[in-house]
Amino acid sequence: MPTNGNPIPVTVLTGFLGSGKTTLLNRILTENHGKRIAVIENEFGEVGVDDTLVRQRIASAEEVFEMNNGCICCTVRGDLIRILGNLIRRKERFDYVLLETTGLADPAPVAQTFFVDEEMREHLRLDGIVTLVDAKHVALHLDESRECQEQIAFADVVLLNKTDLVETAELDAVERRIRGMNAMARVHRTHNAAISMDHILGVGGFDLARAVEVKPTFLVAEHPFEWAGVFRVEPGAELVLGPGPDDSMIVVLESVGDEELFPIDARAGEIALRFSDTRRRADSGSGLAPGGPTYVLDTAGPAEKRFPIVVDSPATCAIYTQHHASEFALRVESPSGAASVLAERTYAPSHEHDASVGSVGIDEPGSLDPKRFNQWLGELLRNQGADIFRMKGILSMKGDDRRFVFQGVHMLFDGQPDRPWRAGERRSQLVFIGRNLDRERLTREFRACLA
Amino acid sequence: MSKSTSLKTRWDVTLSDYVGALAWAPDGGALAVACSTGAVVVLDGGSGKCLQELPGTEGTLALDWSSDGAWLATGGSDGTLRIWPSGGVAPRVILDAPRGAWVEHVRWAPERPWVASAAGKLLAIHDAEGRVIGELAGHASTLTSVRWSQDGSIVAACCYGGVTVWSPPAPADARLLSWKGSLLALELSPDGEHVACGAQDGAVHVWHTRTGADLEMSGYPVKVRELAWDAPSRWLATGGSPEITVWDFSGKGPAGSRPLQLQGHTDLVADLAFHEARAQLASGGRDGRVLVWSLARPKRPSAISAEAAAASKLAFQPRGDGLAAGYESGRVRLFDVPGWGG
Repeated sequence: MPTNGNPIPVTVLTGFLGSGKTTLLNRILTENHGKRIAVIENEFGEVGVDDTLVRQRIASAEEVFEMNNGCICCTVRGDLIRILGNLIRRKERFDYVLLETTGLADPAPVAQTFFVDEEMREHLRLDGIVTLVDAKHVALHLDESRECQEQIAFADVVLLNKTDLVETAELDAVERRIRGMNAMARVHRTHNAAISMDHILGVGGFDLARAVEVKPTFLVAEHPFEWAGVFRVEPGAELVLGPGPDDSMIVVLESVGDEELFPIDARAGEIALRFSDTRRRADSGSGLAPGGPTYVLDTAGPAEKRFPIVVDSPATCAIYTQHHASEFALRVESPSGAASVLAERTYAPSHEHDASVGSVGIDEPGSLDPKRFNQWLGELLRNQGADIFRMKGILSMKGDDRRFVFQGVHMLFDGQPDRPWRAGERRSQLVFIGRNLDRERLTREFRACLA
Repeated sequence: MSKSTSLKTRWDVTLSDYVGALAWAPDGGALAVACSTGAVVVLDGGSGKCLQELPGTEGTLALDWSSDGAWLATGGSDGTLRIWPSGGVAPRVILDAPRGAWVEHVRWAPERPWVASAAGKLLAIHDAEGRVIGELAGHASTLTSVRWSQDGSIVAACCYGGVTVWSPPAPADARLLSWKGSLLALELSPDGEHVACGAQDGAVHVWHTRTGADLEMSGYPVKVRELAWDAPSRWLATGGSPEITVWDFSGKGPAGSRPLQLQGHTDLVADLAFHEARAQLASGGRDGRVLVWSLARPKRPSAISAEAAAASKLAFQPRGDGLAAGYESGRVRLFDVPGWGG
């Protein structure tokens, strides 16, 4: 019995029909990975199973239970409570529980089950939600299905599967879209759902630094540009664009002296404003001047377009682009050859299909006043809990020398003190993923809770 | 005020795993035990000696003896209902539940050899030969409890969505006491007047069986799965907390009244059982304690047993002074529970 041990981590596996869940499960069931896993499946496939695994089938349809108080955030999955309740009675210990959901399952009641039900809370801990997506069809599913959006928004790990069926540029675009919705998730590209178990089990640790690393724009406001790159530009250099998803693209060019570094982020705010200035249309062959007007480049048709970059002497030039550079195979060619990208940044697009589902990260030095913070979070979750899918964070609480680690689903949250802070480490980092999140307001209100 | 005494152990055995279900033969001579892994074991009521293991019953979730003692029914996660002749080594029949659903609840009717079983959303009644007497389908979700009234005229079952009260065998003779909430356990009062249910959202919901009038007692810290009525149908003991809350259904009933609150456990109550004749309540807790209470003196338990492993199931021995207790560790003990003047 796990009564006296630590709660068993549970990985929830979600994904649409055809995303490769069965392939992944069959790998887990048959590969020799040396972990003791209890696998809860919707249907048993026809594979032989390693005897260190225990399989249980969900014999009933999914049963979403609303509580009598009518709060949607308290919905739980009754079928899972029964099955897991039976599993945790077994004397044998498991390292992990892996729980497969049906393709159309709403992840919220699944996740909430581990917060709301006392018995589940005691014996099990939601470690992570792994969402498989079919790289070829996910864009369509995202356009049409709220469930698909939510499966991605809830994920700790997204497996972008079936990568063999799409071109690299398309994969890049899909990945950007996924990251735009959920900056917290790790995205892995897979073929035949081939992935190391370490990437899907034991993934729950929150690491804002990682979120920032995978998506540098995570902590900054949305921009009218998706990309910026810095090049060394000589007289006679050209900006070259291939055909892309749109007939035109807005760009702003800026330069500093030859040997200087270009402060891409520091100037992003100022450049963002210029995207709303009067724009000048530029056809292939027209010159583009760094520090000049905002240009709308003509990218219509299948032919490559070449735009001379007007400089008198070698310079370090930054190009901010409306769309991501890879979508137009953007490059800079100097008379001496192709110019390499000295630095680049990807920015959160401000208007995408999924603009209503997004992430807000907050990273502040200093410690929180526990009372004010609890009051703020309580009020926020009461008012906006239905729109906040997930939260994770590591907080610095005044008067406590330990990190306070928490996670939440909708209106529910669970946190406890963790290890002590190390020297110079102390700060508060948290992330919200949800619909219609107001970054500016969340940040302002959070700051007001600092002691 | 008298002090609590220590419960005396008559016998003590350790089986494979978590004790999930206990059922006494009606004469108190044998106790059937289902653990979460391993086969069902039948123990001698007097000595605790293993009388037999029922082959093929791994994963048994529910078991019950027929009122004449001739049959033992078992149901489990293998999706079968098995009916065993008492003392037999092979089941008389093995019935498959539709779509492999777990057979989670089995109960024999009083007086006649009919067994009610719940698998998924289907409530079925079979005779001892496995012939279908009646079936009631169309429940809103998986059934979580099944009970017969003491006169055998009614079978009641609950799930998310309410309670079905059925006079079998005709499906037409069923009605639904609807409730938007997840009901996890059900007990009919012995006089048939009330049906009490424990709910996921920390509440106990009670219906007056004939009129359908209902009332709710809410505010329990956790879901309520532990319910027990005393023989005269006066007291309803409820868990969902380390504290046992006992509602008084005499006079005007429990609405607006203050229940008895029995304090003796330091962790959640795991099971409750009333003696078949005396106003004596047994409680088993996650704290490993088994307590016996006299409701006339609710301040403290009349007897105590403490154990490291959490208690999981309790069953008073019929026609005797024994109380069987099952533990999460797989241990089963029989305590001596005399009347203590209670």
